[in-house]
Amino acid sequence: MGTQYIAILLVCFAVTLVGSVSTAYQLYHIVKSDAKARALKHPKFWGLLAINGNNASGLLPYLIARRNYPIINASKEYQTELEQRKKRILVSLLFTAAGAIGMASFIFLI
Amino acid sequence: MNIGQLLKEARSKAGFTQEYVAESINVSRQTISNWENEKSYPDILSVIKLSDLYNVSLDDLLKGDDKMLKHVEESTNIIASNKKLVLAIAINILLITLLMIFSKAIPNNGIYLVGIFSLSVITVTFLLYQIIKRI
Repeated sequence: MGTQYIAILLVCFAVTLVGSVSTAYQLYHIVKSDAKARALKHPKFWGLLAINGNNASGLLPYLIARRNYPIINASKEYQTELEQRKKRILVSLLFTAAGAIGMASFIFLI
Repeated sequence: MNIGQLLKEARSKAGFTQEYVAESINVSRQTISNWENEKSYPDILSVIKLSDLYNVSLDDLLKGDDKMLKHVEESTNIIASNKKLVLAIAINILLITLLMIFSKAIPNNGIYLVGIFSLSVITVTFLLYQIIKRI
């Protein structure tokens, strides 16, 4: 029973970890592509800033900074990529949430 | 007639392929297909470009479909949308603060605690996704 408990907990942890890493990866690329499309300097820096912090605390400074930079290089590939990455990020967030709720359920209930 | 049918008809009349239209207005062919099959609605800028391309009146494209009008209203009313998001974030922070203040009154019941935790995770996930959608 103890081994099974640990195994299920590890699975939930793995699901959370995969979801979190995937969320960060997708968000980095979304922000980098958006910064490039708006001709902002150092798009990779903005991508790294966005994935930093909890609960979008790194993303909000980017959203504020980009207000004076309209999109000027919006290629077809950029729009397609943006749509795809937003769908993937939703799946990643759901994975993270499911894993976290699973872990909490085991910790509090078992 | 709804906008999907209007767009399909206009494109056929003009003798264009979906690929040509997609290239002309800088979107993917799949997007054109989604608009014509009503899986999604075009944004206002795309509607203006399509109206020029097909030589169809903007009135005809926008006003014939109630759902399209509602979509345009929702997507252009950014201020109202941002206000709703800020309100949702404020309510979320308030709820979490209240839970922390009254944590002593919460029964030491595992199911109750898991329920509160799950609710927090779900609301934070939802809000984070709403912020990311605005990029």
